[in-house]
Amino acid sequence: MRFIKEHKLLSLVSSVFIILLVIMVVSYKNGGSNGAPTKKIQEAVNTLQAPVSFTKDTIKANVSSLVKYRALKAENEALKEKVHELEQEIIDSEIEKNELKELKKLSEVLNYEAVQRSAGLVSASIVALDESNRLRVFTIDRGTDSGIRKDCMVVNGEGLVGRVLEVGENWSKVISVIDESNNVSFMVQRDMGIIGIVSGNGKGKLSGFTIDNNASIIKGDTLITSNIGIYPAGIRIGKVSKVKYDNDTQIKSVTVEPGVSFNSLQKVAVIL
Amino acid sequence: MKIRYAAIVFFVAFIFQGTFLNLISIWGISPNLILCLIAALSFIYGEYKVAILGIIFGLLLDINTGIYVGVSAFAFLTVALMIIFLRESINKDNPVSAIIIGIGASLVSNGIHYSVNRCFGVNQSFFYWLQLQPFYIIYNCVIIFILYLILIKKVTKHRSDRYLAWKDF
Repeated sequence: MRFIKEHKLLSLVSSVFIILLVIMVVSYKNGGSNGAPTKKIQEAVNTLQAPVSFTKDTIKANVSSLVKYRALKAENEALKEKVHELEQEIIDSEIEKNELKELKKLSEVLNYEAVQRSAGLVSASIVALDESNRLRVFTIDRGTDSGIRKDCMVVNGEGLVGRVLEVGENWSKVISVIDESNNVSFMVQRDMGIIGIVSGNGKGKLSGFTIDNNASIIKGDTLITSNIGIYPAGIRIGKVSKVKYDNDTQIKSVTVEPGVSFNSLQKVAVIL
Repeated sequence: MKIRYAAIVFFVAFIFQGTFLNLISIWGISPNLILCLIAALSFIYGEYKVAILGIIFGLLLDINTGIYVGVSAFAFLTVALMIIFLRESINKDNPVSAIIIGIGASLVSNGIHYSVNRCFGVNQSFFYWLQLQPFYIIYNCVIIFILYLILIKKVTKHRSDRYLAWKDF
């Protein structure tokens, strides 16, 4: 007690550091999910940020259009849509070609039909990014009032974006696939017998390994989600940019370029 | 600086951090406005109020967009205290000091984030983290330098009293 009285400032600062450490550990133990008071704060902040974010998006869209020409942009969007449609068709035909009836049946159970028909999709805008702005974690303007639940898939036209980490009434926090703690099971589109797991590699890309170390995975292969884990099958993850066999661990590791351009991401869709 | 004005500035920075800052990001990297404010205000005023604001807005940042709550608050508090303790040994009239403060603040804050993530099992590449630091440092230093030039005018009213160290050259 005497020490505390004689060193009031030191004691106060040490106490604050200890409290912050405890908060961090509790937050880690809860897996990033926070209690009701923090959700209320998040709701209030989201209400304030939504109009600011809308203004920012409007400015960005207008400036971008001025620079790149409106027509070219529209054409680009239309072409992108077409490419995604075709990619989805290729995925479908590959599934049929390989006669993976069980996989398709299972994917239907897991609402893959909903992804195709967009019936169970909720579109959302990104209203806040993590402070690094590298889109590992971001907040969207839709929550439980739109039917979103924890662990719902988040996608856009280019492929898998991530999953819902935490949800409030009118906001959701999304953890992207490029986050290092987010594991995604995959299968190779060319040969759906090749499966494995990828996660963020801390460099804005994904890295992982194949379950079978003799798998014939090659550079340029397109990876799509498999039915293993929480992700429904058939959503594009990205393209293999590097394949390496480690003699010591006897694991075939892959580096994957994500299909989604995270730096320009503004709109996403949540699969309910 | 009165705490209520500082709080308003912090709040505006907090709202801008996750929204407008994205407009000026390069390769997904943008300055950390709250960190810049903490560094500049701690350096010029040396008040513990800045550290308190750092904790509050650090917690808000973590709640809003972070995975684990407390990391930014911990980093901001550390940065504010370090600058408050070191400012007595640094020449405040020299604008170069603001740059040094900017480099230190960026490295300490990002270093704490990296270390906590590693402790919590996040597999981040150290070399990739290191590669990004120059961009964060440059961005933050530019903002801190601008803030320094604005704030030093408030602290040292007369033009002839400013930048004393430069007058030797």
